[in-house]
Amino acid sequence: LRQPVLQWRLDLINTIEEMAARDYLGNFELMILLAIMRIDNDAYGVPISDEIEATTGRAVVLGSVYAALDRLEERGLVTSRLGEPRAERGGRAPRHFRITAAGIREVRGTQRALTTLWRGLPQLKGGRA
Amino acid sequence: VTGRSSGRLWCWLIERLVSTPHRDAMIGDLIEQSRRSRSGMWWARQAGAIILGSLAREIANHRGLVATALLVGCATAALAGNVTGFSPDVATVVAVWVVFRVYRPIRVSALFALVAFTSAMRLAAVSFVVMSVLGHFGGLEFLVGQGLRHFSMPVLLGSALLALTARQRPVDPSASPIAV
Repeated sequence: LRQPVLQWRLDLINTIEEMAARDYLGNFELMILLAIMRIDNDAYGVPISDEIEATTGRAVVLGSVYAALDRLEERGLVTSRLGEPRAERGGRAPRHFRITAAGIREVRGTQRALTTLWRGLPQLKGGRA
Repeated sequence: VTGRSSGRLWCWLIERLVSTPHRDAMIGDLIEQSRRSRSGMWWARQAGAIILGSLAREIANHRGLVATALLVGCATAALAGNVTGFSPDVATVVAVWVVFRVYRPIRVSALFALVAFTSAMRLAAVSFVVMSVLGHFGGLEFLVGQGLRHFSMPVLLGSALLALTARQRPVDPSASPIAV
């Protein structure tokens, strides 16, 4: 029994050290990357904020979505291209976002780190706070 | 104010105060979302966040340039007032025009900083601290002090607001933040 516990502790320490060394994704940035992945080809501001609102149940401010998308684009985790102008948008074109290979790697890394941190926490067992 | 009319007003303000590359896409998104019967409060919340967020990012990304805009504004007002002998009203308009022209791509944050700095310096405590710090940098204290003497607050506010009514193009992120 001691060996797996020791291994789990080492994993946890490695994860925390790795998190300190790397510029980890914020909660909201991670949500946006996951929303882009779920929407796939038609991911622009409106569907992304709708997806986050639907999954979290909280109202989303479009300005924060774009601020996060700007940061993600600067880090090379998403790319964007301008779509066709549409009448229902006052003749303005939507900007479509797509996750890059680096973005997918980052999501996987965050998922791994969070799973390690979550594993074996007695407070989270049984689905009660 | 109805949602539709306040929407038009907020779109107009975003076009003038925001210069991020995604600005037009953001306005399009707001218009698309507003078709689901959004209220005036919803517009204020969404557009206010976009404008304030853009201003904060612009100041954070160009801290050094915004600081030089303050110095250029004060130096211009000091020159116009002391050397050319213009009245404070004219010296203020000249200073705002120079800052607007030189710092055109970041004009919102440059003019906002100039108005905020000049207003804050009217408070004795703020003025004392800033002047004490500037005292360590040779002529800066004299330059800023002379510039501030020639700023007329109502004219500064009026001319800054007037300068901000010009529509600005979304900025190319690779372009230089100084107008050439």
